[in-house]
Amino acid sequence: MSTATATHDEHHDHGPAPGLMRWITTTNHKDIGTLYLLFALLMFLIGGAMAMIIRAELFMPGLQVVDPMFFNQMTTVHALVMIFGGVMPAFTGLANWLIPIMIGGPDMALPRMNNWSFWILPFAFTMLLSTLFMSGGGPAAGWTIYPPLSLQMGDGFPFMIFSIHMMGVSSVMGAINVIVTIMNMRAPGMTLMKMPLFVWTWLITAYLLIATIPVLAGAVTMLLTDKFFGTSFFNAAGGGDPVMYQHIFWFFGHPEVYILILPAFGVVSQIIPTFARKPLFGYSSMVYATASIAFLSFIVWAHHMFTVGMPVAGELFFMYATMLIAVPTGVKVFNWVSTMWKGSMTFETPMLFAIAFVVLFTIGGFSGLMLAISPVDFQYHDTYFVVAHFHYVLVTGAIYSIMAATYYWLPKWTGNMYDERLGKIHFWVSTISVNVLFFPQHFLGLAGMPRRIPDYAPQFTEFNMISSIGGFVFGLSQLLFAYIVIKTIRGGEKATDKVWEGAEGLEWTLSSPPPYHSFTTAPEVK
Amino acid sequence: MVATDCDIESNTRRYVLRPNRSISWRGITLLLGSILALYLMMGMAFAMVGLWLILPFAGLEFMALWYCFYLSFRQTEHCQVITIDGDSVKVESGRRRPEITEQFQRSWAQVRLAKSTHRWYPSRLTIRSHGREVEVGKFLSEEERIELAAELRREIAPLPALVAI
Repeated sequence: MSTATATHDEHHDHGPAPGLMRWITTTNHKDIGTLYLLFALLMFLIGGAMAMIIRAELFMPGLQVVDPMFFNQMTTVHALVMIFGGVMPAFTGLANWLIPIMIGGPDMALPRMNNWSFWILPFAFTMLLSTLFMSGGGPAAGWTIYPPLSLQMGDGFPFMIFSIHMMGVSSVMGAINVIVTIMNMRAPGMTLMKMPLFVWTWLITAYLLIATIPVLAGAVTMLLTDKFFGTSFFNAAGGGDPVMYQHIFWFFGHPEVYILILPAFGVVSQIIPTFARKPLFGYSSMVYATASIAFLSFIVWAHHMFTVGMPVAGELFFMYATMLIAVPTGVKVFNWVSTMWKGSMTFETPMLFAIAFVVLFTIGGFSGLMLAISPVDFQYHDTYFVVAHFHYVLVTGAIYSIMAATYYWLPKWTGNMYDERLGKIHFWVSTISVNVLFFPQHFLGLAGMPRRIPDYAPQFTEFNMISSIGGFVFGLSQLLFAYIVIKTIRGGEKATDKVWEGAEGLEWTLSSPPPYHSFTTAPEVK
Repeated sequence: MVATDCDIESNTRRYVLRPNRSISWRGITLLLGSILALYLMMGMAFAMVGLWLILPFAGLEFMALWYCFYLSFRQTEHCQVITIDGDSVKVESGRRRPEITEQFQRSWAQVRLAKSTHRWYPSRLTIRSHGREVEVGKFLSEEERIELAAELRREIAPLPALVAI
């Protein structure tokens, strides 16, 4: 007899709850994945609207659109919304949809907790966004909320801290669910080294999450007690040290960067072999490279604060450790390119986004290497060069991979093919505009334009105008993306089970769309 | 997972049904141990420079992780043993030891496989007699449940001697 699959949820002999209640009470991994992805899309549009305000203000020197305080709130909340509301939930949505299917499990290991971890998010973000309407406005000290500046925030401060706690709880529960699912619910024969790269990268991401979220939770709680309970963790007047906040924030913050990018590596490692019609080059080296990047992410945090005043030995250590990350990352880029080498390539929309990811993420990686050089970082620190660097990594890296993933798996999720012509238009408009948006920011930064300031010297005008025009076009092109997604959900040409000719993996053995419970029969893993 | 054994001398057949799991408790312990070590190292280092509030959050998170592993593992410890001998069908269910035992007279026991009303949901395999009913193999795959139902039907079918009478 074949081997059975454990069903970790009570399944009753009826379909999902009707109407809205289905989405509120659901414990199904596909429903929850869909909720996460739609939530991420909404947050992406809200965070994007904030970016439009920033770019409108920076279109010309001087203050035209918003006052400086509100500008600072926009830069801060834009970052928090995009990181915690856009990219992380999008990847968690992908994890929910794909991990059980890819490992041959029936659902996530803890379905009720899965429901809870999603439904915390709308409340957390409503709370965060509501601070914009409170006395003193929303957070304006940057997403890093460095004290003492962040402690000057108005009535919204405790709400912001509480919303960050809620986001943390949601992330931790999502991460625990991923770890338990992957460790305990793999189909027979699905050994760790047979798991798809997306599952591997998410497993490592989940470890990073559970390792770093307590640090963030502790850091923001200490801010809270410093403000309201008379402690002096970061208050120099009381014997504390504000620089220590920077150390613990970045001890969380740097692994967080990899939390945002490792699942993207996984997505691209699934897509490129499909459209190159070749197996992924160097599977094991990809796994080890991911694990190495995760390990190194814990020992490089101080490269974000080279200018804070550190002993030279410290500067050197963090500089060399940071540069080391280029080695496993280079292994990955080499493997993706080698997978494409002499492949029978076709260029459907997911592949276009994946190739753009490889090229543009590498540009972001190179500017990261430049920033890693401590003596040079003194010039680049807190300039638009840094802004250009992390947007190349996060927009053309993380977000591009999410778009690639959406186009790649959307036919599987909905049972309908997306409009390829519109997808390609979306890709080309986005890719041209995103480079018009962010590439000039390198020059602005090298010329000395500081970040997080609403006004600038007149010599930066032209590049800022170009950047803003790119920003508006990129922003508008995302409305096309939302339209394509909605259109595909509503109907279209029916997708086959395999969808893509070169696709490999258990998810393609299921129907499109898959049944509500994925594998009631444990699949055969070859 | 279904394991079958048969004792010809006592004319007894036994089916042991268990859900699938991909890690042992020892594996979980090793995993949790390494995570605990990481938390302690990190939390203590921060506590030593005065930032002690990280340690309680790390502790809370570790407990959550442990409890989730425990819950998930517990669900895969469920076991059902169906024993068919000369004149009885016994179904024992439990985690480490039989917690619920149901016994039926073999000649009266019926095996029923009720198909779900919706394709999203699995079928239901039951053994019943005289108004009593017990569900078996709830955690099995559809294919296995169908296969098990066929085997049970074959085994529990009226004894040839009784049919002759």
